[in-house]
Amino acid sequence: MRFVATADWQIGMTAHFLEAEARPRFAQARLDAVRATGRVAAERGAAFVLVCGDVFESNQLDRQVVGRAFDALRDVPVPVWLLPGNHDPLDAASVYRSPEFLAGCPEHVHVLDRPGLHEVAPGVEVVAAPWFSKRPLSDLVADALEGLEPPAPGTARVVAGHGSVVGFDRTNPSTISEPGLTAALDAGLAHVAVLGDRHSTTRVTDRVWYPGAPEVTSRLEDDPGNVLVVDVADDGAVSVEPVRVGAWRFVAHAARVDSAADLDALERWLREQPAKERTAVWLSLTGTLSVAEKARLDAVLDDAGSLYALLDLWARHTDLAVRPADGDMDELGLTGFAREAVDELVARSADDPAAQDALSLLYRLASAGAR
Amino acid sequence: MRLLRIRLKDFRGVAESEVRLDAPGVTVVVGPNEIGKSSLAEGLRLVRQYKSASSHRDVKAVQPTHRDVGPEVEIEVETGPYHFVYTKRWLRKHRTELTVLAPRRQQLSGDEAHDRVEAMFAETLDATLWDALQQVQGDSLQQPALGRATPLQAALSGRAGADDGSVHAALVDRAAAERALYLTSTGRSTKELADAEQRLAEAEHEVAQAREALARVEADVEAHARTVARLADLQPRVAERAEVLAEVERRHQTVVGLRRELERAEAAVREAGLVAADALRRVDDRQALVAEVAERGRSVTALDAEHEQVAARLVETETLLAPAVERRDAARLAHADAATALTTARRQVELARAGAELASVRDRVQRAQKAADELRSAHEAQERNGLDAAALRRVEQAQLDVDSALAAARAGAARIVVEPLGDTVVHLDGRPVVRVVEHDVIAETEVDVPDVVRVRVLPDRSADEQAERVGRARDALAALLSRHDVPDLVAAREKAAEHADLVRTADAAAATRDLVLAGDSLDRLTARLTVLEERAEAAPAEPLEALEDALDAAERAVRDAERERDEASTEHDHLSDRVGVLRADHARTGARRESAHAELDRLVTRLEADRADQLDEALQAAADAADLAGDEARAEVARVRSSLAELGAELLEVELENARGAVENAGREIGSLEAERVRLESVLDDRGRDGLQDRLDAALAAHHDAERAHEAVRSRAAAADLLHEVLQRHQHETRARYVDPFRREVETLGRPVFGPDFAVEIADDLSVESRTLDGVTVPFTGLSGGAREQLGLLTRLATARLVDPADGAPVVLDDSLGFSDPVRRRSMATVLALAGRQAQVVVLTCDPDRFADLGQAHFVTLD
Repeated sequence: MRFVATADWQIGMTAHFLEAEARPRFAQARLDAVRATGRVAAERGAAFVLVCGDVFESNQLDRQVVGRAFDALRDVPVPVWLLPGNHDPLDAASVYRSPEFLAGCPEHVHVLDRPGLHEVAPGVEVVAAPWFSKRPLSDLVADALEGLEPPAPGTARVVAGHGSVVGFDRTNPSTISEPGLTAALDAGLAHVAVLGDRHSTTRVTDRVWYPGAPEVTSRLEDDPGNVLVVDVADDGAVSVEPVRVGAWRFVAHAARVDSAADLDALERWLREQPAKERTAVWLSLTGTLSVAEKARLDAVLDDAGSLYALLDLWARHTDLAVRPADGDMDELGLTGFAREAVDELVARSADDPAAQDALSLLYRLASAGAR
Repeated sequence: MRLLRIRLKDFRGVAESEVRLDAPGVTVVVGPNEIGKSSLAEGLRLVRQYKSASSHRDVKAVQPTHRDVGPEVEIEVETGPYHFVYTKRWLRKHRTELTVLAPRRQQLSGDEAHDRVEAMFAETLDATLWDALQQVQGDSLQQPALGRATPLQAALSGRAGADDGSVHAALVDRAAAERALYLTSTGRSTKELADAEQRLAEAEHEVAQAREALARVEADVEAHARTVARLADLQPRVAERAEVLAEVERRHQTVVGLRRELERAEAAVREAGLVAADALRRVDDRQALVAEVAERGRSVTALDAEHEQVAARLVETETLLAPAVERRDAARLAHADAATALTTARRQVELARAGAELASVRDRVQRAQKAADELRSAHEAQERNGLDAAALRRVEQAQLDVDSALAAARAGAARIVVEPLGDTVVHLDGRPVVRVVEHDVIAETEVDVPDVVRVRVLPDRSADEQAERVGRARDALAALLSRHDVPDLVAAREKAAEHADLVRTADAAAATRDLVLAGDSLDRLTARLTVLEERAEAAPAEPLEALEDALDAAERAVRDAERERDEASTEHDHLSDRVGVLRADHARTGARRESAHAELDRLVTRLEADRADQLDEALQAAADAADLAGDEARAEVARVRSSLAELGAELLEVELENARGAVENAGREIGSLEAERVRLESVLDDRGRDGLQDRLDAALAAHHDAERAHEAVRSRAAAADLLHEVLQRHQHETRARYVDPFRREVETLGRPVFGPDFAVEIADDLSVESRTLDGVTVPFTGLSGGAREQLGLLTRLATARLVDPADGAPVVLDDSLGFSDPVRRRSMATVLALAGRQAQVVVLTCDPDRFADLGQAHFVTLD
């Protein structure tokens, strides 16, 4: 038995930190990831797709997003089982209970809307632990497993849960107990557990997996953009293979810039990145530049910035000092009090960005004057 | 730059004149007049400013009048590395020629020469400094604009320790312009920055709103979850509470039954109480009526007795009243008789007494008549005598006047002594002298010896006055004496004594008369005598004593009759009053007795009727029966009450209320929870369509953009602000540094002129702000014309001394010190000489005497 495990589609999510023109593309990418998942399911002959929570970014979305999601889901050729997670719980405002959802839901799309066993395909059961509120007061997975008997022989059983497991977050009462889950699996109550909530593809144990988000959502994620192709052999053996479906990259790039050569390297790196329109870059630059070099850096970033979905100087991790090189100011012929002013601004520029800017401005004004 | 030589030809009134100038040193150029002396300065200006082909009116102005020639100027100049001779002629045969002598010899003409000269000047001479050091006629009171003279800045900066004094004022201006894009002069945001701030604030507001809306939905969702949970919790409890209520209500029904019994028993108690009270009241009423009949019977008996008693007393008193009336009437008659007898007795006594009084009155009339006669005759004698005491005092005064006048005359008069010596008779004033006689001559005196001699002695004039006074006194005396008919004072005194005797006689007679009359008048006494004489004729025969005894007896009889009459009246009145009182009492007691009898009869009738209705014993039996019924009813009440207490009726009420309340509360709560659930679902259903998350996402995106936009503008503004501030501060500090050496130089030069305590304040632009002298600070504009001129000159000379000679320019003073007084002018000469040691100073004047004190100077004259 083979199925595609995924989670955290976060449909409807926007990324305000991106350049304005990139935002609609990013939003569209989440729906594209659904179709890509469907293609993987078709290519690998999966019996169904199991989405472990946070299908939607929020219950408070404009309902037209439901229509767009169904449109993408119709391109998925196998049944799709959706588990409500912490972003889209089955509460009074749940998107799953909205008239739009109920009226438009394609036949092959199902919501795991109660805890416990669901037969999702002949000989395949899912133990669902859906969320009914944003803050459950117990381990929903443990609750769903409570009192279960092992499946009938020949029946594959999959646990579908959502939330962090112990070890990631100990303070939350809804944390899934990893030892408890493992004990349940060991007891033969299920063959494999798929969990949502963690956006990076993560193997907790051989049989407990986070598929992660199929499309990146945050700079902090280690390995997003994958779905899992899960096989449960007749003897109950489980194999899991991550398959990449994501098209976007969020990249944090650190570089040292102390010279023109370093600037050349940075410029080259920025030029060589693929799919820039689907790439967000946070630069952490450290080093010391002359006023002229700083001007060039600004120009390089300006030029490249228009190509990327985002090109940002990551202020918290950037430590750039601007010092006038010997020739910088001399060529402007600044002497007397103007020279003293330059010296003061240079001294202050080490820890005062305004002083750096003031130096650049002085450079510009003095150059204009010299011309 | 040093001006070595200047030659003017056909220039205003100057036909041709060449002046060599000391450099360094002071050259005084003396012109022929006001216009002439300025020709040199004007030549210097024109040769640089106008090309030879120019026919500008300034050029035409220097053409000599009435001569068709072109004005010509030639200067020889050393500036920087250059040394050249430069010649220009305008208007007629105009030409420009330049001979460069150093560093390389070169010959140029025309515009090429002009341009070359300007290029050399531009390279080596600071135009600002050149202008500043020219003191043109008429503006000697203005301060030179030294602030932007580069060589001076360089010199001062060098002294201040900087290596170069280049000025970048334009840079500061550009920084200020950049800053002004974002900030006003007071540091407020301009439109671009303010707009960015505004957009950011709006975006923040929108984010907050969107978050709040979302949070409201979250809160509603949670409220909904709580509501549903509470409902699920509540439903099973409702049934439990209903069962409890039913049980309590069953018990309550029993209690309600008992309560009704209690009410009935209590009503029976009240009823029995009313019956018993009524029976008791009837017994009491009967007893009271019996007692009243007895009381009334006793009262009637007493009233009858009282009435009879009063009647008896009335009869008794009426019996006494009849004799009292008789006694009173008899007493009244007796009193009238006694009064008549008394009147008669009194008449008899009066008549008898008139006879006795007649003799005495007659005697008093006679004695009074006699005394009156004596008094009249004494008064007549006094009239005749006339010399009373007052008249005598007047005579004695006249005699005293005569004597004193005579004594005064004698005191001042001559005295003659006549002594007859023989027998021949000698007469003094007609009287013969027997022996020695002394005589005071008061009046004319004659001593006469008949037939022998008559000597007339005349008193002096004052003796005449004395004699006249003696005469007047004697006449007055004589008149008085003759009026009283006496010869002299002695006789007058005797007559006065007679008069006094007469007065005493009259007084005695008056006393006698008054005594006899004893206050009565003689006429009344005489009339009384006549009456008495008439009565004496009717006098009775009995003696007076007998008559008087009869009168006394009559008086006593009257007094006795009066007493009897009064006593009888009093007794009669007293008895009469008593009879009245008793009669009223009698009537009153009679009435009371009548009414008491009637009341008693009425009560007795009523008692008899009541008894006929019900006997006294029957009433008492009814009362006892009512008491018994009351006791039974009370016992029933106590029994029911104890049953209620056993059932805990009071607490049961509370229990019932509680049970009912619990059921109602649960129902109400379920109702309100259901309503709340429906409301929340409806709200959430609505909200769900709003896409609040999308709104927040859009707001966050807008905020992100606004933040970036704002940060870009803000950082540009901060950079411009910082740059401007730093540049301006350093510019100011640098200027402040070179202001010091400049001030020192001005003060060094100024002390010979103004004194050792001279000080100035110098502004950043090197203008003089104020001068301090003798501790008094005066702003530049407040100084006198002379002082301003001197300070202007001092700053120019200080500049010339400070500037590197290679960068310098000549100080040209056109008609300076016109304002200064001679003493100051002399000290200014010292300063000029001092400046001349380093710098080139050219003084233009038409009055060489002004500069006579300049011993070091080179004097030249423009012909």
